[in-house]
Amino acid sequence: MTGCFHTPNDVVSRSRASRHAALGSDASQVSALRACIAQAIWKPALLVIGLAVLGGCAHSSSAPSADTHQASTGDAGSRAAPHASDDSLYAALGGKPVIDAVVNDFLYRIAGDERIVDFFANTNIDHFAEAFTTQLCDISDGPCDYAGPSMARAHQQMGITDAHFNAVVDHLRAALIDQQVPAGPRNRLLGRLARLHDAVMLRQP
Amino acid sequence: MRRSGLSFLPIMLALIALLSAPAAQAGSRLLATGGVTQVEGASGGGISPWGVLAGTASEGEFAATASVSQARVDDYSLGVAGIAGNIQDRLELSMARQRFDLDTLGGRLEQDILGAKLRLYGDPLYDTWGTWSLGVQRKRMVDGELAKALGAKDTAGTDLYLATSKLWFAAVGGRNLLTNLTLRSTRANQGGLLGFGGDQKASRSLVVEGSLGLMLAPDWVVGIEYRQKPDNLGVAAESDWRDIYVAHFFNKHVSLTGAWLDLGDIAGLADQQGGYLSLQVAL
Repeated sequence: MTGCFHTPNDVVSRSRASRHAALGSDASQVSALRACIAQAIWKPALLVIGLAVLGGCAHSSSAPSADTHQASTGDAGSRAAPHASDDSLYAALGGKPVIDAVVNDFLYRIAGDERIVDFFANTNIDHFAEAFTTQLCDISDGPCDYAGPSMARAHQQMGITDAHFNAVVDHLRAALIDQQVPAGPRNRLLGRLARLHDAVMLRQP
Repeated sequence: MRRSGLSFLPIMLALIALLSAPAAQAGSRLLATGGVTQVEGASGGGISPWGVLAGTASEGEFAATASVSQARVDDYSLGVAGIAGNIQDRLELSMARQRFDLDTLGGRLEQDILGAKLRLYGDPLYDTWGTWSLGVQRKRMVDGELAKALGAKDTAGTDLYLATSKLWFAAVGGRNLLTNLTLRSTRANQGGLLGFGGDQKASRSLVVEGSLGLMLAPDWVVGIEYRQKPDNLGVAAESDWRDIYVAHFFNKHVSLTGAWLDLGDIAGLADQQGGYLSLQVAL
């Protein structure tokens, strides 16, 4: 039973955070949910069977989100608690307004850095900003689920070296400092992002 | 820094230029991740080489550092001038000249040190196991008479070391903590200033060196260091070295380090303590 009622919560929170990415799976999950409810209402007598079906519904409707999850950073914590708690890193960073400001600040720095700006030559900056904001939200246990490509796939064959990676880290740290994110949350976030290094570098030529 | 006044002016001018230089001309590694210059010329803390390489050069980049350091303890002074190059964050080559003044006993000892450090693996920020480097320091005394008189076997020697460094994000009060561990094989007496090997022990010793550095801010590091030492000379008992330090990185080009040293017994004079200052410029 909880399976069916848990899923829409997930869908709502996810769709709020990453409308784009979750749109497709929203529709399929909502229709699966309707089927669940219909079965529960129209077959009250067959309670045991109904429960079994509900179990099946919960199982099948969670399947697409498992795919999504696999493509994300693999942080199980963000799924278990889709809403940011007050003591989450997301809250400590300052939530959405601060993360938005940091990403904006960061993009200006990237744009001004000739070492790395070329990597963004064919990038839709609005799309990138939204994806990066979602990723920072997700990785800091905020109410988002990054559903974009894996870090290895997103950066494959781009010719990124450690020098480029370092430069990007430097810009992000500078943006966090300029947006007055305190040292504790700033370093915790950088520590979580540092772990993405190997995935980003995995498929470089 | 008992150098001629002549060399002082260009150094000051260069410093002023570097303090205002744009960071884009520096390497891409984060501020302070190259450490400072230790007394033997390698990148590290004050007394121990670290696993990181000099400057902020990364893949495809080059860095060069120059440093002057001065230690003054109760009965001795040590001046060190060093330069180092970093090739693509893979190989560090360094050269240092040490000038050790026996303020109480009288006299001066000098030593030249050529160093190389090869990064074997990893990155202090991005790898679970940090970064690992293998280093060598070839040391040669300029005049070994006093060392020989104290019982040293040789006036030149080679240290080999394995060093590892790791940055722990938000480890203490939200601040990043840099930990370093170095394993050194050496015959050097007082780092080589009193020769190599001795009447008590002529062969190599395996010693451990370690340090902690807490990054209070991205440009401020405070920490402690410890360096175990061999004890080869019968007439001149040798102690382990330790210090507490604070380093400030003005930018990727200029850093200043201050330390309080506790060097123990040196050449028969007990309990040597004092201050240390080191200035490094990097390109």
